[in-house]
This record gives sequence, structure tokens and C-alpha cells, in this order.
Amino acid sequence: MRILIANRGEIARRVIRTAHGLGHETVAVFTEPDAESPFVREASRSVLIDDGSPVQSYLSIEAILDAAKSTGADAVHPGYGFLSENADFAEAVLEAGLVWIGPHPNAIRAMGSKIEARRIAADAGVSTIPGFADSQDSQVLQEAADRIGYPVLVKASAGGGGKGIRIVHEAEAFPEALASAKDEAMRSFSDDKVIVERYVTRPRHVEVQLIGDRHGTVIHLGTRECSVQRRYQKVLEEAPAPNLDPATREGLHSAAVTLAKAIDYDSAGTVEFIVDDDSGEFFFLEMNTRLQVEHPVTEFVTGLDLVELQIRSAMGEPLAIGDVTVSGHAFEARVNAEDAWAGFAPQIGTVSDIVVPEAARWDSGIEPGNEVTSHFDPMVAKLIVGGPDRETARLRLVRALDETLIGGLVTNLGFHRWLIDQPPVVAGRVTTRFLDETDLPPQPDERVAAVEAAAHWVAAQDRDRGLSPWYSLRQFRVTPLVPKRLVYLQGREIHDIEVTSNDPTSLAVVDGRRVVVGIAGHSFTFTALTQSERWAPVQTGAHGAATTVSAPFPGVVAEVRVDEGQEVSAGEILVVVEAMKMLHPVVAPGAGTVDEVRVRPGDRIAGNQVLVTFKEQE
Amino acid sequence: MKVIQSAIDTGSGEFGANRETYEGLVATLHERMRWVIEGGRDKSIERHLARGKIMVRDRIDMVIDPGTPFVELSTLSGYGQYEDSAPGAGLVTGVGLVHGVPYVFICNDATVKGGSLLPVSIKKHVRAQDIAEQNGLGVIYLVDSGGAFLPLQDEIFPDKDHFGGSFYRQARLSAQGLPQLSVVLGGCTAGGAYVPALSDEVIMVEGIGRIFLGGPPIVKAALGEIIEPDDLGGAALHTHVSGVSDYMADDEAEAYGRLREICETTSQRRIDDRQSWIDWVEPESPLYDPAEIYGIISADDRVPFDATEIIARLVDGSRFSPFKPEWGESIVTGFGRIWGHLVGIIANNGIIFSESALKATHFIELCEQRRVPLLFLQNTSGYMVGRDSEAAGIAKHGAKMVSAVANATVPKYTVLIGGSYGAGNYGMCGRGFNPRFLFAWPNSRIATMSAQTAQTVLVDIRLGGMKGEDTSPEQVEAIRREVADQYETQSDPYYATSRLWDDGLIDPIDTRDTLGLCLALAARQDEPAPGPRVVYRM
Repeated sequence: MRILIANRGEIARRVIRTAHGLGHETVAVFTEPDAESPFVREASRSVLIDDGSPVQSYLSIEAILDAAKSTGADAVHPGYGFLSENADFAEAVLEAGLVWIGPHPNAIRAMGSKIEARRIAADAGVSTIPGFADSQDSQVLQEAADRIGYPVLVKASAGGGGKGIRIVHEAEAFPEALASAKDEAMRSFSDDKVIVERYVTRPRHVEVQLIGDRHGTVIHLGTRECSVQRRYQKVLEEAPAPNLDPATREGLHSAAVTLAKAIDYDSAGTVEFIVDDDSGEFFFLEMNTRLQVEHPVTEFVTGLDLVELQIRSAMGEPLAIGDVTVSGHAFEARVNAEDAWAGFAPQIGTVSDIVVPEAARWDSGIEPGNEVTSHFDPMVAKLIVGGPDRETARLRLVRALDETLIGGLVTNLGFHRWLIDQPPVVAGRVTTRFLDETDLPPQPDERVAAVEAAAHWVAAQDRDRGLSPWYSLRQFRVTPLVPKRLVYLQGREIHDIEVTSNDPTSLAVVDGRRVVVGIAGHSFTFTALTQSERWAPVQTGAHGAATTVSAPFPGVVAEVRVDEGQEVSAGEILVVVEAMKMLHPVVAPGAGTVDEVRVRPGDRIAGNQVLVTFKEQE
Repeated sequence: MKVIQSAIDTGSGEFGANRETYEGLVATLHERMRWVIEGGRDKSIERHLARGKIMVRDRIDMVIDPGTPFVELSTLSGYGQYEDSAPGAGLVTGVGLVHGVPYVFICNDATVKGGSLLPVSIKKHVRAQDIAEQNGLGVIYLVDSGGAFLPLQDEIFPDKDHFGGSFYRQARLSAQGLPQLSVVLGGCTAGGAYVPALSDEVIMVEGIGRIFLGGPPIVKAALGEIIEPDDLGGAALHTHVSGVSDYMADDEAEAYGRLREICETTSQRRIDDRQSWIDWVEPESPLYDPAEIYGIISADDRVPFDATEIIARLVDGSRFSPFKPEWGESIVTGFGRIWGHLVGIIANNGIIFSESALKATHFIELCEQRRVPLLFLQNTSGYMVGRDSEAAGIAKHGAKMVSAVANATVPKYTVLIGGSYGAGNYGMCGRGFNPRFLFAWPNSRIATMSAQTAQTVLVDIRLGGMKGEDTSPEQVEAIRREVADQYETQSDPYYATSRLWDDGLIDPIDTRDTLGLCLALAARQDEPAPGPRVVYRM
């Protein structure tokens, strides 16, 4: 089978890996910014798609189906995001006679609308958050809110990504919140329908992974906790969800399966719940009818390959995985190209180095040399680490973060390193509000990184230079003052740093002049300059911005080419002197304005006689 | 080579007490070095910095390869002299790398008497040039000097190793192909003008660097001409008109970049270009911690300590192959490695007897023939006196050792680890015997004899000369006190290092590294020409 992957980056590679393992061929569709990305190379074939912008191309059903046709693809895997939950696309794929590696379009459609999804859930007896969605009339919505009891949440029906959501703590604030939520919903989704629901004060995000086949079987693969969120975006996920009493866990499992069965679910999917950490109550949130970003943690604790199960289901094979047991614990850190200490601003750059510990699973869309652009989502990779129990897995993630380096690109690895040690994370009692309510500590001192980088650089030079004490002893002095190590780093000039240790303690990659140093998960990229470069004059011969130009030797002025007040550039001919039957140009030593011309053509001049003067420069 | 089995009990009370005493000595050493580096002259440092000028040691850091050693020499020169007004004698000298090539640095400290050269400064300057010659090193001069300190001109100007001697050396070093490079960062007046003028290449920093044979005051006195210093000898004049300077830099930073660029073209051997005559293997750290030396050296300098224990903390892997260990035991001789370099070590365990002198002589000849550098660790009260010793011919045996040391052509290095008394100083390669480097520990003592011996000897002599006069116990005591004071003062290591009798006091912990750096300098040189030599059995 030839599977076209209607996606990019790490998930495209993830699907390629399993597809090739099963003996299938793959087709990558890519856009110009991704031409050098590994998924393009790793796929059996690749097709450039171009439908306007790069993102638009991946949202273009037509472009992707054209690609499938031109490459003779038999099946389409949508990955996550883009068209993965677009029922029209699924239908179009099926209509084109291709295998759709996902649930049937009606299931997608049913779960695509929050209102519809909640109705189906309620009908199936799955508890939903007390809420109201039957009217868009402001007055009716207000009454519903009053009935549910504050605090309530107003959120866009078609929403996602945190858009069009308002928390209302009292009745008086409701009308304004409603208006602004509708306004934002309209702008974000071209649909201002909203729902009102109870606002859970200690909410956890727990989800259940499901897998179904085309023969009516749906089973759950355990829970995942995704409560660590920043503005409703998941940051750190784990499986299974910790600190759930058995009844709650069982309830979640069976609710998810019940819901899936209600829509004849037949692929991999996830039912998301809000769990009230105080009461253990849980409420259906939504169902994602696709593979999730965080599926690897489930794979770790079940030993299954979810992409494989998706493919097999899509091909009509019955599920044949027997009893699934969840054992061990796994974490996934989403690695985003963003600067947590600059308001999580997305970052771009050319990746120079990637160092990842072998023990960790690294699902990544990038390789050294790749450029990360602003066209797509900032998530560039996922770091997945597991262990026999939660604390072991957590400590392994700590270590993995300490041992991971990405050069040339600012990522949130340092943020993860901070996060993984936060008490609620350590305790497994994070609510979805944790990150939004917690301040980041100060960013690690870049100067420390600079010193470490310099130490690594010097150490690397030592390795190259052999074992002379003149290198091994580094900044040895017989005097007691620790010498100031003068480190000059491109764009970051660092002076007067006292070095207390000769030995670098951090992780680093040194490649020529480039040093990428990792401190507490943060990767700092530096370029070491030799001191000659650092101190070199910008331009040789730029000195002596002389204010006078003199005759080089005695002769006769043949020509005067400038007037007083004239601006001249460096090297411009000012005067021509005839001597020894040759004409010699006298040129301006630098740019400037002529102040005075002291000679005229025909004048006999002495050597060193001043010919032209310039105005003093600022 | 076998690992030395140390007999030191680092948990003993004696060890602890010794260590505590020694830590005090090192604290004093460091405190005094700090004073040299930045003490006692706040105003002048402030003025220097206010002019945008950089402190001398920071200048050196800007020139040398980043993160590499700098072996500063005679940091405490001038200490206790000139009413304590001349930290470091206003000069910093040492050895550092530029583009992997070692150079001697001679740099004025303009925060000390405006960089004026005192008698000790000249001695330090000349000594650094001698080190350059012996070790085959180019010299970088960072010139920021007011010239000779005129109130003491008689001790600076006329004699063989005075100012003239420094120019003589500079010219001859250049002739040997050892680059002489100057950066002019301040005044270079009169004689001072010749430092850059005799250099192979010269950089001047605009606004601060000036060169003239006669400064504006002299010009005014001689010619009645009033002229601005920059017009008389500024960077622009000398770079664009006179050609005294080859390059002009806007600021110090640019000058050091230029200097480093020049150093890329000097065709000198790099420090790691080890020559084949040197016996070298991969270095290893000593098995025993060099810091334990603090606890080994007796707090009471009359209580001896075992040189082998010191050697164990200096040599690679604490491995040592003793030569003739069961004969002449008051001198320890044998082979070890320092930072990979094979060295022949000669170390005292107190008094030198005839046998010890003969053994040392034999060993020196052995090393000379095998082309193995020599390391002397001095801790001796001198050659044995007394009837038996004289009758055994101690004078001629001691003389053999002195002759052997004087004529050895292999690189020699000396460290004063304890007493350096009497002729023991000669036989153990004291300053007069031209070791390439001579360092001293802060517990060391150097004099013709110890203060205790001196009291007895000199009091007797003085009393002998006062026959018949009043020799009351009070007077005897006064004489005794006077002699003791003189010897105690003059044998003090700070007295010695202040006068350049050594190349610097160093912390015992730094000794192995310092020696390793020095040996590496010799290792890049051609083999010194040996004379034909047989090993005489003594």
C-alpha cells in the first residue's frame, strides 16, 4: 500500500516510520519552506504542494488529492491538525477511492461540533459538564448561567485553542463576557455560537485513548494526563493519569468506550474529560477523532504502535491486540521553538546541532541544518521518556532534559526543565490553571553559559592540541587573583567574568567556532571569536582621517578636480600632480568635505605642501 | 618507575599543625601579591582608568590566547623597598602564549610611579630578556613608562646591566630571530624611546602613545619651542610621518588585535612543537595531592622534612626512580616526570656530605650525558664542616658538584623548598648558576648561613675584635640581637624575591604546574649543544 501523509514535521516522520515498518510505501506532501526537512527525504516519494501559503497548502483538499492521484497513493493518513478532523476531507478521500486512515466521516462530523458532541454524550449517559447550549439568546443564556451557578464558562461552540472563552464569576459580569466571547468567536471561527457551562475550580485534563476497528470493537488504552497547559495548549503529558481513585479511572474508561460506541467509532481517537481534583467527578469535554500529539506516552505504557493500529483498522483488519495492560509510566515534553522568557514568543532559526540522549524517544521533525520558519506551529519535536513508575520516569525526564541540546534555535527545553521540578508536577496534582497562575523564575544567566561555552571551547582546543600544560592548565596563574577570562561572543560581548572553575560542568557541542552549551535544559549557542578578530580594526587604512592632503613629491599641479565645499568619497581624485613626466593622482584619504583648495593648475609645488584641506569631521 | 610510598600520616596532629602554619604563609603570600596587583595606589589606578587605559594584567589577558596560562615572574619585586611605593617595581613580566607561541611579556605598570623604572625594575626587565634568550622566546613590550626614575639615575643608567644593558639585549635578541614587538601605550621618553625604536614592529595607540627623545619640557628648555606632546611624538606623527611606528590603533583593544595579527606571521615554533631530544610521555597527575606539601613542611624550620615526600607530590603519578638511593642519602637523586617531561631531580635532605656531593655530581653528569633536564630542590644548611669532613676533602668534593652544575648544558630549574645556605646554594644551582627559572617557596630562607649560626659566629668575631673592651652581658646580647635581626631580615624570602634573587615566590601547590610550563618552553627548543662528556664514577 502507498500511504500519502497529509501532514509534515514530526508526525509525518512518525507515520513514515511505522508505515515503512509494515512494508508500505509513503508519499510526503511538502511546501517550499520544508523542502530540506527530513520527512520529505524519508518518505518513499515526495510531492511539492502549493496552494498559496504553506499552511494553506496543507489545508487544501484539492491539492492533497491531486498529489495522491499523481503519486498513485492508495491511502491517506492525516496526522493531527490540518485536515485531520475535517469530515469533508475524509469523505473526499473515500470518494476518490482511497483508504482513509481515520474514523468514518460521520464520527468526525458528530464530534466536530461541541454542542453536537455534548448532546451525543448526554444521550449515551456520559456525564457532561452542567451547561447550556440550546439557545444563543442573551437573556436565555444569562438565565442558564444563573441556574448552573457561578463561576461559569462562556466558550465558543466551534472553538479550540483557547479562543472565544470567558470565565464569569458573577451574574453582573455575564452580559459583557458573553458579548466579548461571541465577538472573539466570530473573528476566530466565523461562528459566534457559544455555550455556557460550569466552571470547575480545580480542573484536571484527563483523556482516554481509544482504538476501534471496522468490526464494531472499541477498546480503551488507558488514560493520559494533560493538565499542564498554557493557555489551553498542552505542554507536558503523561500516561497513565496519576492520582485517580480506581472508581474514577474505571468510570473514565467506560464512559469513553460508551461514547465511542455510540458513534460506531472505528479508529484511534481520544475522549477528553475534565476531572474535578477535589471531588473526583469527571465531565466529558470533547472527543478528538484522530491521532493525538501525545500518543507516544500511551504507546510506552501499552507497548502498542497506535499508527500501526490505525492503519490496520483502516484496512479492515479486526483488532487483534488481546488484553491491553498498562504498565509503567511515561512523560512527553513538547519541544516548541519558543522563548518562554519572552512571553513564549515563537522563535525561528537554523538548527545547528541536536543532541538527544539515546535512552529517550525523540519524535522530531527537524535535523541539523533545517530552518525553522514561522509558517507552521512552533512544535518541532517531542521528548518522550518512560520508566517503571512515575517518579522514575520523571527523574529520567529531568536527566533527558539535562542531556538534550538544540543549537541555533531557542526552544522551551529550559522551561520544561524548570517545569518538571515544580511541586504540583512532582506530586502529580496539576490543574489546567497551574501554568497560567505560576510565574517563571528568572532566566539562567547567559554569562554563566558564556563562561561554560568558553570553557568547552578551550577544552576542545586542548583536545586538538595535545597534552601541553600550556593548554591543559587553561588560565593558570601564580598570582592569587583569578584572571578575568575575556570571552567574546558574537552579538554577545562578555567581559570581566571571573571563572572559579577550570572544568566545564555543562553539556556542550563544540564544532569549530560554534559552541552550544546546555545549562538546566537551556541551550545557548555561541560563536567563539579569536581575539584577533575581536580586536581587528573594522577597516584597515581607515586611520588618519587626515584633515589635510599633501603633495607626495615636488611637481606641478596639472589639474584640480574639486571645489571648496564639495563632498568627496574615499579614493576620489582631488588633484593631479605632474612630476618626472608622469601624472600622479592625489586622492582623498577618506570621505569628507573639502574645506580649502590651496593650489591652482600650473602651480609649482613642494613635496609635502598642503594641497587640499578637509573640514573637521564630527 | 615505581610509585613512591608516602610515609606521611595526613591525619596526624603534626601534619595538621604544619598545614595550618603553611596556610598562613600562603595567605600572606597571596595578600602581598594582591597588594602588588592593585593595592596601595587607589588614586593612581583611578586616574589610569579614567583616561580609558587598561590595567596592565588585563592588557596581558587581552593579548594572550584566551584561557591559557600566564607565568608571571617576580611579582613581588620591589616589595619592602622604596618605602613600599613600588608594587611589582612598576613592571609585569612573564610568559604567555600568542597564537600558540610563547612570548616573554615586559609590561610597564603605569599606576606605579607613572611606570618609571627603578633600579629593581631594570633588573626585572633585564632578567626577563635573559629568560627570553635562554628559552628562545620573542618579547612583547607593552610600553607605558615615564622612563628612568631620575632621583635614582645612578643605579639605573650607567652600569653593565642597567638601561644600556636592556637595549643591548633587545638588539641582540632581535638578531637571534626572536621577535621584539612593541605596543606604545604611554610615554616613551628619552631612553624609553629606544624600546619601541629597537623593536621589529611597533604599534602606537592614538591619544595615549608617545615617543620622543626629548619631551616637551626638554624641548622648551633646549630650544624654547612650545609644542603639544602629540605633535612632538604622537601616534599619527610616528605612523604617518616619521615611520618610527608601523601601525596606529584607535584604542588599546585594536592594538592588541593588531599585535596578535603580527604574531601570526613571526614563524616561531608553537608551544606544542615538542622536539625529539626531549623524553616525554603522556602526563599524569601525582598520586598524592600536592596540597599535602603544606602538612609536610615542618612549622619549625629546625625540624627537617623528607625531600622524597615532596618529590612524590610534584612528579607524574608520584613515580620516581631513585639513583644510588643507599649512598650519600642526604641528597636524593633520581628520575621522575613533570607534565610528561623526564627530569633528573636533585633534592636535599639537609647537610651535604662528601658522599652526597659526589653522588649529586655523578647524577648531574648522567643527566648531562642523557640530555635530561635537571631540577634542583634546595633545602640545605650547606656543606658539612668539621675536622672529619675537611679531612675527607669536602671542599674538593663540593667543588666537583659546583663545577658539574656550572657546566651542565641541559636546561636547569631550581626551587628553594627550604633553606638555601652557604655553598649549598652554589652546588644546588643557585642564582649564580643560571638555572632557566628559579622559584622559591614562602617558607624558604636564603643566606650565607642561618640566623642561629650567624649569631654564634658573628658574635664571637665581634667580641674577638673588642679585646679588653667592656663586654658586658648586655652588650653581648645587643650584638647578638643585631646579628640575628640582620640575618632574619635578609634571609626572609620576601627580602630575596624583592631583589630578584629568584623569579618569584610560588605556592607549593602551583610548583608542579609552573615547572611543567617552564619545561614545555625548553621542549620546543633545539637540543642545547653538549660537550663531549664521560660519566666519571666518583
